[in-house]
Amino acid sequence: MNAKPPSDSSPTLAPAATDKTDSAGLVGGTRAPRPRLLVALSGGSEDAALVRAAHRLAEREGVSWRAIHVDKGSDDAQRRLVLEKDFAMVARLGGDTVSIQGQDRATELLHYADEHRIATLLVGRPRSSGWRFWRRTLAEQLMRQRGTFDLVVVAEARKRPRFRPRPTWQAVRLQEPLVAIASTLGALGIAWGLQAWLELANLSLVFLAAVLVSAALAGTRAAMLCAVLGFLTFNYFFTRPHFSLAMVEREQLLTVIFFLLVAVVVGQLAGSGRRRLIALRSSREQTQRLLAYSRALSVATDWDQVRDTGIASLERWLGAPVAFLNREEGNPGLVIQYTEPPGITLDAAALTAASWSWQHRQPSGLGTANLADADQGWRLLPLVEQDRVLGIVGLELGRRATPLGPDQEAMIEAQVSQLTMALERTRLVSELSTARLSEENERLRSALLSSVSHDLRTPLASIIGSASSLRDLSPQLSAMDKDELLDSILSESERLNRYIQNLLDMTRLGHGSLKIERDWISLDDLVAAALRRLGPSLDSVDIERDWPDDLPLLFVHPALIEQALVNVIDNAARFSPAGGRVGIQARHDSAGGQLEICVTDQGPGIAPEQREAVFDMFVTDSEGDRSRHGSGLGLAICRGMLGAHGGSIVAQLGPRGTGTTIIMHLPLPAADDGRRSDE
Amino acid sequence: MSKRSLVLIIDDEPQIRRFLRISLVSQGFGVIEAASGADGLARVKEEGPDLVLLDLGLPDMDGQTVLDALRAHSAVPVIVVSVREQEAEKVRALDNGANDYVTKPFGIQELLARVRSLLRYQGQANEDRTNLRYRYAGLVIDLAAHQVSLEGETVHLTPKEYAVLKRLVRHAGRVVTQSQLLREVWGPTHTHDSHYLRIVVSKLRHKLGDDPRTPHLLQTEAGVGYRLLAELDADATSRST
Repeated sequence: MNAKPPSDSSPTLAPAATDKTDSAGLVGGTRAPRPRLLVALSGGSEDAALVRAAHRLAEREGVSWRAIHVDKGSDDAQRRLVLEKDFAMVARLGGDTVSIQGQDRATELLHYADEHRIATLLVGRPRSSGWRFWRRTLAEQLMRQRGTFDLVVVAEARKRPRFRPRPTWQAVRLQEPLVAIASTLGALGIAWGLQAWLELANLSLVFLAAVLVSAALAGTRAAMLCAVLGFLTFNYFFTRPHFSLAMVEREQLLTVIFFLLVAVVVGQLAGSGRRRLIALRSSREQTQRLLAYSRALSVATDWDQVRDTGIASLERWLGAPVAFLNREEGNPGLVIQYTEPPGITLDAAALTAASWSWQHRQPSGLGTANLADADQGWRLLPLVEQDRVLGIVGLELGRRATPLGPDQEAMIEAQVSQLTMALERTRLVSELSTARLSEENERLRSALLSSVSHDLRTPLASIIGSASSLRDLSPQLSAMDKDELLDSILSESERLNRYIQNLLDMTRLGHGSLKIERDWISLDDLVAAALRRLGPSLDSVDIERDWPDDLPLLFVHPALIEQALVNVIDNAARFSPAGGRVGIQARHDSAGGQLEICVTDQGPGIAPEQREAVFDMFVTDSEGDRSRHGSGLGLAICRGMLGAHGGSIVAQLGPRGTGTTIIMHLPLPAADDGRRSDE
Repeated sequence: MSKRSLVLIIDDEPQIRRFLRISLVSQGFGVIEAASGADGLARVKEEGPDLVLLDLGLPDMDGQTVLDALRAHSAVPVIVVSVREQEAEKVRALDNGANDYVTKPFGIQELLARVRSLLRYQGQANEDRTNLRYRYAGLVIDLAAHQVSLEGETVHLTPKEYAVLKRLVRHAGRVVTQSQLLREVWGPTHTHDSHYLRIVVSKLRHKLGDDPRTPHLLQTEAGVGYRLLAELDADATSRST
């Protein structure tokens, strides 16, 4: 069948499939989503600028891009949080992300770029590496090795105080010298007791153990202190001459110097091991906190719930008041929608900062680069999702006793970004359901329109047809024919009028503006009025009335119940065969305190599954203009009108298994009311 | 006319049946009526009418179903008379075997013209319709001679144009659906390429001297198909009027 031989297409495929060997990567463009641009992230302050630069470049070149992070296993919690944020930003800007393991960033990057035939690699230029001048920057290392890609070095944005990590040199805690002194004293005691049995060199091991203990208990600085103290103590107590820092024996001098060297190195190593352990623990705690946070947010189903959960959780973690501000319709400024604890207000300065943040989509207030006045106690963070501000989170950090550490700063960012995503999710969900609802409304509206147009057109067809016959065929028509056509025009016009009345009633029922004005009336009067209104359209059927004379009076809105009767009887007559019988029965159901009215016809009947549907306002598509029981709105209106009186209407199989019986129930007023009315 | 043509009205609206009956009888037709699809089908079998007017919205079954059942055993011409105005419904009815479609409400003259046209067509059904001569004003289309002339001058048509025109002439006065023309002229795989047909029809109008803005000879039934004005050869038309 296929006219083209299959071999036609295969040769063109072949080079593409084997182009792995083609190191120039010239044909790489023929395959769609292979990234051509790689950006190396480190979790440092320069990352944000890097990601933006990569995004701009990729946009300009029209290529896809990827962010890469080389995980050396030594990143602290703060770097991890920054990276998490970076990756989220990359995803938002349309790139993808990858994390690889390795010890040397430059080597790993080079290897990866070669393997994936990357055309351009972006790296950051960190601010001056300071005292570690001998270290080469990543860019320098990459330049020394031969890569097949272009290397772009991106400078860090100059003014980003918020993202600059604080120096890791922390205040000396009292614990550190105490541990160092205690362990040195302990070592002195042990060494003193053992000196009779051990050589001098071996005694130094005791002090080395003290350094390790200090490192494990209190970190690098304690270990360093302990090493120096150990060196001095050892020197003072154990080297000859005893109880003097002076040394005479070269051998002992060497031992002491070696001890100091080893102690410093071991202390450093043990201290950094401890630091890593602590970092790992805190990173795990933060991860767990974030996980719990995102879990709490994901359980919340709507916007308000997400907002309240997010704010409450932030407040618990932060220990300071948190507020959520947003725009509301009909209000020019920002409105405080939720606070934790409740009832918190923002001062004028904070509100100004909030508006600024909304407009500029940037954080402001305490601890930021914007509007951070001295008396400003709040920090305002905008929740930005794709150029749209979803709200502003205000943190009253001024109430906190201690300033935020870098880990906490990063944690706030992470939580706020999770809150943003969760809010965006609920916003999308609610937008979707609104769209679905309006689609449903649209469908109902068009069903109503088509059913109404059918109902209006059917009598119009008779009217136009009869009138045009009268005009065009007049010479050939007998006087009787003309009379008949005129009758047709009249009765169909009346029918049209009834439809329009029904439509109007329906609208009023729908709007709830139909006012029930009750009055006492007998069923005889109601039925007589209905039959009179139906007039000639009942000519083809026999109407049989059957009810006792002593029926109680009804206390209803006469016009509405009359309309209901008109609709039911009209329906029955239209579905009756010519000469058929339409029965109207009524009885007083004294036990139920209601009046039961039955209208039966000898028509084709209604299928059991349709008996409820005929009271629906709309016709389903599959029914079209066939199910005229339902399309006329008539029965739907009956149900509405009886319902307004506390009554009911149902359709049943007619007597003797043929036709249809429509049964209406109308509640009667309480017995004494009825009697009084008879007087 | 040798005998009165008998028209069957299948419609559940008594008022519609009434004015149709009065009008058709006044024009010399015999009329029988049915208020339901089942009754209508029975009447077709029993009385063998010459033409059926069929409403689609019947209480017992859909008019399209009636059409299907009717076509299973009868070739009687059917005009669908319905309030359904969507093109899809018209096309469906025509594809189901209806010969024409009139949307309610309608003026009586329109319906009578369609009825006459169909009965005339029926009168020729027994003859060889492949050798028709179509004449309208100065236009003569002779299917037997394979010739088209306008004011005595031969009109040159491409094979596709002639193929479309031939089908319209054979069904003169009635709608030929777009998909039918595409299927028969271009083949079953092209039933949705209606732009082919648009181009050919506009060329035909141009060549046959029809005004493309207000086409008279070759009328478009929007979304449904095309209809060639029903003025057949004088010999043919004289019989039914």
